[in-house]
Amino acid sequence: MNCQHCGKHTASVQFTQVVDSQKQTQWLCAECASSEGLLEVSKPKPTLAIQAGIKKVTISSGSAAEVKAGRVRCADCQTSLAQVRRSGRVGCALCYETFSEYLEPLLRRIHESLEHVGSRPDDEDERTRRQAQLRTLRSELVTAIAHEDFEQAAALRDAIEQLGGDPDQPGDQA
Amino acid sequence: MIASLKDLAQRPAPWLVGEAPDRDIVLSSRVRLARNVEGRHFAHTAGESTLDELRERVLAATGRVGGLVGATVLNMEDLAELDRRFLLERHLISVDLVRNLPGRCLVVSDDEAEGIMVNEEDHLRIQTLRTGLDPLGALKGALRLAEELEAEVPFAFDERLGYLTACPTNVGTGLRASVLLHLPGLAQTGDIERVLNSLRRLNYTVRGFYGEGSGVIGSLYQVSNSVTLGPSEDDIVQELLRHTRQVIAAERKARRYLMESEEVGLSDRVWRAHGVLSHARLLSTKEAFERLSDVRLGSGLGILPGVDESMLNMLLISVQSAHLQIVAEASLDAPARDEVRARYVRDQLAIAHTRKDER
Ligand SMILES: [Zn+2]
Ligand SMILES: [Zn+2]
Repeated sequence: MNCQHCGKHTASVQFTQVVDSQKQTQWLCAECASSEGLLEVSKPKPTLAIQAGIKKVTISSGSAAEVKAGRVRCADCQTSLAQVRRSGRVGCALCYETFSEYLEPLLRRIHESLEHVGSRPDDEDERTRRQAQLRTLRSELVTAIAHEDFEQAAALRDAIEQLGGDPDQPGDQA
Repeated sequence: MIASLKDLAQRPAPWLVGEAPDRDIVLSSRVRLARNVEGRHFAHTAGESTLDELRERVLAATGRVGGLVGATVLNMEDLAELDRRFLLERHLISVDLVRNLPGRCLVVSDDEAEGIMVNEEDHLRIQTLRTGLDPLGALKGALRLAEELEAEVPFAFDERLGYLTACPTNVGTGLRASVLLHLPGLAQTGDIERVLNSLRRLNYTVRGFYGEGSGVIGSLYQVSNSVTLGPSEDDIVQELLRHTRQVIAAERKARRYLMESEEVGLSDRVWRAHGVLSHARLLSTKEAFERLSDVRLGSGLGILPGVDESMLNMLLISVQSAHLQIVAEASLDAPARDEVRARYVRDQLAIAHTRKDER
């Protein structure tokens, strides 16, 4: 039986998820199962209620490490490692940090080194500082949303916007 | 401003005409720099409103960039599919922009030598084209555009990894430099695979001229770097230049060998090709490309004196289906296209001959 998600690989995992108290079962390959990105594919923008529902996922096989790796999502664009693997693309600048363990060996294979040599922005220092601040604010925003601290989340959105970031992110996925 | 796509279709792409050293073998050089706007998701994860906002910001910035003042802006949403395929045939946009429309646009200078694809795989794909073997000129132009744009829109940059791109294969410099080579001599002596394989071992990507999946037609090859992180922009392009010179030398050697060992056979092939192009009533794209390749080789070797090489280069672009239909202002089925194509090529060769006789 082939994976009900990608249709290409052999299914090895029974993936059961509870969404709005509806139980859904799918047979998936190990790669697709390590991702919880399934909902973005099949459903419109996840709301908080649906996100709460996802937590009741049961996975009946697959290594713990793989599942753990699949759970990690970019705090900014919500891309999962499985999505990066499937598409060969990362979703945003922060993904390079989030998935560095996966990306570094890949970059080493493709390129000559991991150190950029060549042209750089004129205002690099200022920019590096700004990006670090944005990253911190974004991960705080994710935490605030998870704790349903909406007042704090709104304040963080304002701060992100002031630094030139998109306040609708994370969660603004096409 | 470019007045209309039809005007564009009826004139040669400026980067395929004009004098340049070794241009019988190297038709053009091209550079693209991938850049993304800081603080925004990459195009494939960004929502439509973000893509629209990015387009507005990039367009506002281009209005203040020297090389792009007065440039033409073409929104993919406003164009018919035929128009988009026309821009693809003209090497101004990628397949991605033919297929995906929202927020996508092309900014292109009047001479088609400088441009930006907005919201392709990366927010900006800055591209420059030059006639002949001039990747350094193309690089200089692209870096100048990037620098001017960066003063208006900050780009995503990591102090270690450099410019950040949607695909990790482009990270660092974001640079893809390529040369368009015509290698009929090596193709005929059978040495082409050996040469291409050594290029691949040096980490170059080799593709045909007419897009992914179409394979190599008419002995036209695009050779580009694949390593973008580690070496500097200048190093990448200098290496490409050095290796291209070696390919040029190999092609010259193959052509000399063919002239010495099978001149009559070669001459016969060139004149037959010229005959087909001058007289055929139906001409498929593939046949047109192949015969044009033979005539181009004959012209380079002096077998066919006085054939205008710029005209031949123009035909390599303008015999394609979307070009013919834009000029005809009609949608044509395949047999009708073959007929229009044959007439068009006959006319162009006849005009070239008249011009030659007048001189
Ligand atoms: Zn699968
Ligand atoms: Zn991300």
